[in-house]
Amino acid sequence: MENLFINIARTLSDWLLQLGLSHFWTDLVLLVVQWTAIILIITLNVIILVWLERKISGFIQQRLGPNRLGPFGCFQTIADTLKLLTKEDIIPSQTDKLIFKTAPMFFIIVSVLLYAVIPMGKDMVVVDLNVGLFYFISVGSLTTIAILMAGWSSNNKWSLLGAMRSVAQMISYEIPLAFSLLGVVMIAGSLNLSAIVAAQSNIWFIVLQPVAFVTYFIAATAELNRGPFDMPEAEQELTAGAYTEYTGMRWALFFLAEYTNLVAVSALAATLFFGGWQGPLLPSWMWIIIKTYLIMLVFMWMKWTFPRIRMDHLMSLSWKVLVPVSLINILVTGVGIEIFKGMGW
Amino acid sequence: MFGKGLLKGLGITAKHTFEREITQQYPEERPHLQDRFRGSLAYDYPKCIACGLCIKACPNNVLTLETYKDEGSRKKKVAYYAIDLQYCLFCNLCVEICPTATLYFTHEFELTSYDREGIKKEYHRPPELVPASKTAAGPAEEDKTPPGGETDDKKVRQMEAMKTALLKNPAKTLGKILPAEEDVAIMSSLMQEDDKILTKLAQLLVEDRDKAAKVATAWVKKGRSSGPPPGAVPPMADGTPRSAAGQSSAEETAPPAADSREAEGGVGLPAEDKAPLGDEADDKRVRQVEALKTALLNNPAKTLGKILPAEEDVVIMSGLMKADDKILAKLTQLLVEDRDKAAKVATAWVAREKKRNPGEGGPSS
Amino acid sequence: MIMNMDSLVFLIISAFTIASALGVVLSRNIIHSALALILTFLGVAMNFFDLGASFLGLVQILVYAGAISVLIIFAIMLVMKPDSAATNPPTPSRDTHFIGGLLAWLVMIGVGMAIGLTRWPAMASEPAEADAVGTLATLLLGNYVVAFEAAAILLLLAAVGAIILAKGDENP
Repeated sequence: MENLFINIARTLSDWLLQLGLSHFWTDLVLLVVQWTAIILIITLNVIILVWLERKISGFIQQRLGPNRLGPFGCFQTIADTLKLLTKEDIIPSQTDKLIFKTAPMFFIIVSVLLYAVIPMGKDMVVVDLNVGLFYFISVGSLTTIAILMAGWSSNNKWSLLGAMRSVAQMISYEIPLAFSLLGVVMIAGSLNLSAIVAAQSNIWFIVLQPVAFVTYFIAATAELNRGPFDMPEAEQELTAGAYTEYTGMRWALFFLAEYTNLVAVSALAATLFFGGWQGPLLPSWMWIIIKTYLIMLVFMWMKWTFPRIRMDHLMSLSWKVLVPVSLINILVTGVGIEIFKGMGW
Repeated sequence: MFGKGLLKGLGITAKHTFEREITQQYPEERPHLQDRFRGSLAYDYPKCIACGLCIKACPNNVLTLETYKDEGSRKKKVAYYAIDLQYCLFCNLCVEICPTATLYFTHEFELTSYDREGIKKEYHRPPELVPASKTAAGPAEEDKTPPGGETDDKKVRQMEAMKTALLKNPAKTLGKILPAEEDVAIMSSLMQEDDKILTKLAQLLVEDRDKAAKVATAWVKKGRSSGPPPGAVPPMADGTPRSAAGQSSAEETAPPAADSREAEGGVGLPAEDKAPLGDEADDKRVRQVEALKTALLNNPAKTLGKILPAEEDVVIMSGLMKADDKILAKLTQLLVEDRDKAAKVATAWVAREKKRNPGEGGPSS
Repeated sequence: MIMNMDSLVFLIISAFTIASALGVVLSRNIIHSALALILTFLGVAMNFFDLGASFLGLVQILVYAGAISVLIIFAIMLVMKPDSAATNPPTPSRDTHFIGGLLAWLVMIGVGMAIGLTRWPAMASEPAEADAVGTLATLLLGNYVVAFEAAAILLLLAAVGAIILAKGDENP
């Protein structure tokens, strides 16, 4: 069980080598297979997540949530997906067509790229980049541009407003997000996510870096444009923000990308603060799934609890609270590390 | 401070998550409705007394009431009642004001329909009531008109019992509605004479005692004025026409019809009592007028004596009548309609005749 | 195989970078230009990756590509006109065309000469160590800490100055 996926991959590469392919092509094919698997998992996962989100929001509001299609309404999102796939694709006449069409693709590509560095289990990482965490942050920052593209090309005031808000929000929250992760990096002594996971074999970093975790969690919520920081969408004021003009599958791609980002951010939180794939009894890939889902549940819980925050409060929270707090956290962490080193740990 | 409120909020939502869902799976699960839930407005046809209070109370003109009266009756009855629920705001005012609890709210709340007319609730007169009132030729049939639909048998039985009681022990039964003993005697004799009176009185007693008392009083007064019943007090010339005639539905059932009295030889001027009748009694009045004409020609002195005090005036008048048929007709009509006016007109005619032939005064009779 | 795989990858990335750079210059739509600039920076970042300098590549993405969004917002807010093509007009006169071209050629020749005349040290025989970040950090915060801090203070001053300018003089 533990090495299920690794064995599958090894069998596949052995088989390809036996067919007479060079190592380069074998690796390429394996990479394609891995990415296909990731995209497939993401898509299927989003179906579950949307259902889960609707169920949880229902329970929190003492409703039942979807319950018509299948047991507990579990086929509801499948039906929704089919509906979105078959819907008419409308592109408004006054849009910037090229950008309008590329924006959702750009968004989903960036979101999927995030998964390259996340260790999904023991020795299960697509690219074990030595600057994995930094990769995550910098690639993640590109989602801003996708939203901006969508908002600008729609030629709609709501879209543009949503895009503007999104940019302001994401640029502001990238800073505390990166700073909060620095504490973890300092303790682990590496930007490599596998190394960070390995560094937590004795103690989870949530214990050592609680402030960093809280800062990360808040900043990540803002980065994800999720409630209570869903200003860019804010359906009550901006219809659907940057996605207002999108229909059918293009809109679904945005939806997909948002949930993909949610999974990625949660998986990163599990990796950085909750020991990643480490855990007893169950296979490692199971552990990361469980942890990721638990963190996503908290994200959903927060979204359906807190009211949307005002834009200026949002900015002042970032610049006046989170940035100083995360800076102080870095200072304290640095001093602490030196003290412990001096004590001979 | 420092996220305490946030944690509190999270706690609340967490608590709600594991509480029982309040969703009702509507089509499968029927909602529990409180007793005073206001669903569709309903109308209980037999109970309605057509008072129209609900129409006045309704702020949105939701309600429509059309009434009819049975011939000779002043009692309004419901011909048609409609509740146009699309305008109803379920304010309960009509239900509050309804004196007989005819209007009430049901628990039915699925009021959707495919067109605007579909949401309108209409109540028509039950079909068994429609022909009875429309084909009613004579006044006699009206009395049989039962007031309500489903309570018919019960009423009939009650009425039979009441009739028996009235015949067997008139003093006791009538004593409740007629204070004077002599009135009771007159009434009981009237009842025994005419079965119609008996039926009517029994019905009134069953339905509405006060009304029965009034009607009975009216009959008794009329009975006194018309003389013939045994033990009746001497006939009073002018009776009490207005009060008697004013009593609804008493008129038709009153046995001593004017014409019959005239045919007997005429006592006083009973025809006048009939004066303020409604239009529906037209041919009856024609008959009265004819009878009065005959009386005037046959016995002018007696008839004219009532309106013309001086004897010579009576003589002149009777002469005029005989000479001119028009005068006769006019006078008769006036006498039937308005006695005072008849007197004035007659006096005027006589005065004019006197002026025209000052010396002459010899009537033919 | 005449061309090995590394060269092929390099060629593809370079072609992509140059094409998007041309897009920046030639596009009449300022937003398109800005977006093409993102692609250019991504191409440069890919070149860094190809050369094994993943950290630099990521810095390229984070700092340059990520900041482009701000540039786009400035473009939208400052020069936005109903017709977006009108926001990026071609240079009006032939003289400026000429001067601009001349300057560009001069710069290009200068850079080319500089590259050609420099005597490059031989490539280090052993490959760069895997943890390039550590080396970079040691250099930045060790040997060149003064320059690093000076740059940091410069940026800080720029940020503070921008805020003061944006807020305006409170006591005019």
